[in-house]
Amino acid sequence: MIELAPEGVRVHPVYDQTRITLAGITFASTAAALASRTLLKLLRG
Amino acid sequence: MAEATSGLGALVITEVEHVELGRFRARELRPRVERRQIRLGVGGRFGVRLSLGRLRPVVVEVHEGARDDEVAIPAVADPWVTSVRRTLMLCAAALALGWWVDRRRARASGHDRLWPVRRVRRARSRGTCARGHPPRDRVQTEVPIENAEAMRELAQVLERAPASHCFGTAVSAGDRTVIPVAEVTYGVGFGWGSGGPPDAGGGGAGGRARGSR
Repeated sequence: MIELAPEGVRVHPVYDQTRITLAGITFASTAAALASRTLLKLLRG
Repeated sequence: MAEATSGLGALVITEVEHVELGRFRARELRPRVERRQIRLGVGGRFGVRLSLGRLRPVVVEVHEGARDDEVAIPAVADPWVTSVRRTLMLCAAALALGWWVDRRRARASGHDRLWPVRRVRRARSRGTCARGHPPRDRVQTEVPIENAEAMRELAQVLERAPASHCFGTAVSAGDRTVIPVAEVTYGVGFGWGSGGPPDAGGGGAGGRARGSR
């Protein structure tokens, strides 16, 4: 987002907290499922 | 029946474009947009072409009278892209670990396994496929070039999307003006093929544009 003010021109990055949270939860659950599946497969042979 | 030419190609293109945003309170804004494209192509009895591109605003040039200034636009990583990239790395690590453990167990039991590449090479030298089946009869026909040309024309519509799509309409409130900025990504893919009846062929195309900032 470009902001033009009397002091000058500034650029502010916009972070979507909802997307960051959802992506984090999805990654954490996928990583947990993948790690547990790999470990179980390795242990069982 | 003529044998179709085959090949594989990849091309990475980076271009910088300027966008005229106009004059706002004696300041003229001229952002620079980086256009990066990756084009991949495989051709033979069938062909696939994939084009991935990104339009990313990098700097805003501010001209105010005789004074020129540049304001950098920071890149904001898409959380979903980061998440998918990490997941793919984890999958690759899990696969490599599984393969390594499997190989060690096979060696310990005296049944050493061949690497997949060696398995394919050995099968080819025997005149079979990797699973031991006899090779299929391949029918080579000419690739209908008209289809590929038409699809390439269609793909160029998205590939040449103007850089001004990264900027929204300016909104003024009091003595401040705000201009929304977005990163645009797109992907175009199509394929064609032939086989069976001598004149058979086909193609398809798809594209996507997404703003992420």
